Amino acid sequence: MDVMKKNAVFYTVTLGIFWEVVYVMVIIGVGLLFAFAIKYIR
Amino acid sequence: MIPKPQLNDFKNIGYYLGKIIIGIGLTMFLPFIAGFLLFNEPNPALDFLISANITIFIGLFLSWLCKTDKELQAGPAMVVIALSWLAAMALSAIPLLLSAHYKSFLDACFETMSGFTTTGLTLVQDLDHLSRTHNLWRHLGPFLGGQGIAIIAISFLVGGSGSLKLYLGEGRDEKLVPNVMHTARFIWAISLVYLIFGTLVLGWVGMSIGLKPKSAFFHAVCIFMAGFDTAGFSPQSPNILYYHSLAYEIVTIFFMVIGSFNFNLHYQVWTGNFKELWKNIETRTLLFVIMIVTLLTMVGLNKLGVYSDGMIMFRKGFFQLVSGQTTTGYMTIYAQQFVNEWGDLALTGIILSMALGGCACSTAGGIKMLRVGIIFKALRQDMKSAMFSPDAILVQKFHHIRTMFIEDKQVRAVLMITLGYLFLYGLGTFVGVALGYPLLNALFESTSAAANVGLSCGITDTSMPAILKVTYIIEMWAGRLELMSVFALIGFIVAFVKGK
Repeated sequence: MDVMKKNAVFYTVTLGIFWEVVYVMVIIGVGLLFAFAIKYIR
Repeated sequence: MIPKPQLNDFKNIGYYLGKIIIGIGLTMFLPFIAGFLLFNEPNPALDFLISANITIFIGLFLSWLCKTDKELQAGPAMVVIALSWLAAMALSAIPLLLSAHYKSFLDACFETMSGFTTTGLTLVQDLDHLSRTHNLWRHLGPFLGGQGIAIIAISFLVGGSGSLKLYLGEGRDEKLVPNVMHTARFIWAISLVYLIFGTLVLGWVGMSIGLKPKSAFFHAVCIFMAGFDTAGFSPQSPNILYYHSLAYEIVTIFFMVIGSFNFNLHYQVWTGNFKELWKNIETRTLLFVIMIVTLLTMVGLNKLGVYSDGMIMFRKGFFQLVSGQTTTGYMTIYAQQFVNEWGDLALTGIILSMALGGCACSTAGGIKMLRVGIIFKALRQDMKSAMFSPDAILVQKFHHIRTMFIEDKQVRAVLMITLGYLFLYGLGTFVGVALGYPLLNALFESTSAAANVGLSCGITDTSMPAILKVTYIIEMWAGRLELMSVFALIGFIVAFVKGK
């Protein structure tokens, strides 16, 4: 039972970190998009 | 009539301050051990043994002299916090001064205040030849200060109801779980999990760009600690530019953004409430603000034709912008380039991003996204009420961990802190301009200091006037404590002088 609980915590934390990575990727995407779009419009 | 503080109040403050000083002294054993065992640097390691002994002796003496059973009240707790940051600055500066890489004790104090408050402005001389032991201490400062000096004390030294008041006094009014001790431990858990993850990723990237394994992991620990804790210190003088690697820059952006997140948000996401990441007013405001300042900065850079293609504009422009927004202060350009190449519009974008800052209850500084979001929502409510009938009842909601209604009392508190930050930004700008620096440069550097960012346009230098160094120290200190504890200390001094 204890092992199952530990596995569940590990799984949830890993998934949490994954979603935080996704959020940062969105921010990086915004930066790339703006940098290239503004350069292209010029 | 203002009541004059009694002897018991002084004893209470002295007792808890002594305990926190002991905690600071104990942390000095980390670079001492690392210096001896890992880096084979016995002389620099001895600097830390001397400093730890002095610090622990002062802490023990103070807590012995002021020993009391009286419970710590909210007002004195804020005074303890305000003083403990000054004590941490002065005592942590001793090993740095002994390294002979600082021109004066004031410069060493500037460095430690900059480190503990996670600012990142530096006055070190010949950084590239500073010992690894001293360099580790420079980077450990942000890691300890980012979590909070009160968090160290609560986790290891101070128990009881006094711990809650110390926690609240450090500019953090959100508890992750009802028990403040568990909150402190969870903050450590988040930081330590990311410390392991970050060191492995940055170490691997460091080796892939040609660093030797030992060097790669030393750099990884330092860059992670100063990145996640939004400080911006680096073991090499060219900062992140030293690595010349897109991968290193992307990974650093990740840790800067993650470090600027509210610890409460980490707690929610790590316990399965993934939707919070997209619903929270802070993350939504952060995304919106980043879009606005990116647009401003990129248009400014493009107008002057500073960078020849989109990828270079992203690596130079967007990196500096995220660094400013998350209040980290990592740089992939030289300080003078801000002034000589970037132009006023791009510089204004960076200043705006630094002033607004990261999320509340995080390691980041600035006005904070929660406050910006609440002000925006309150403005929307006021605009709506102007359009509808005066009898109409209008409510404005926002989501931060749970859905809440905006109240006038809350908006007032938010505006007071925002005004306080604007005053701080103005204070440093005024002193800078009075000393002969151009207005935009003075505003840039002052905002960087008060919002605990660390980006520099070249003003911060060992040769700058001592009065400006002291002003920036005050700005970093007051900015990190969100002014309240500083006001409490001023109030305590006024009560001592004028009280009856």
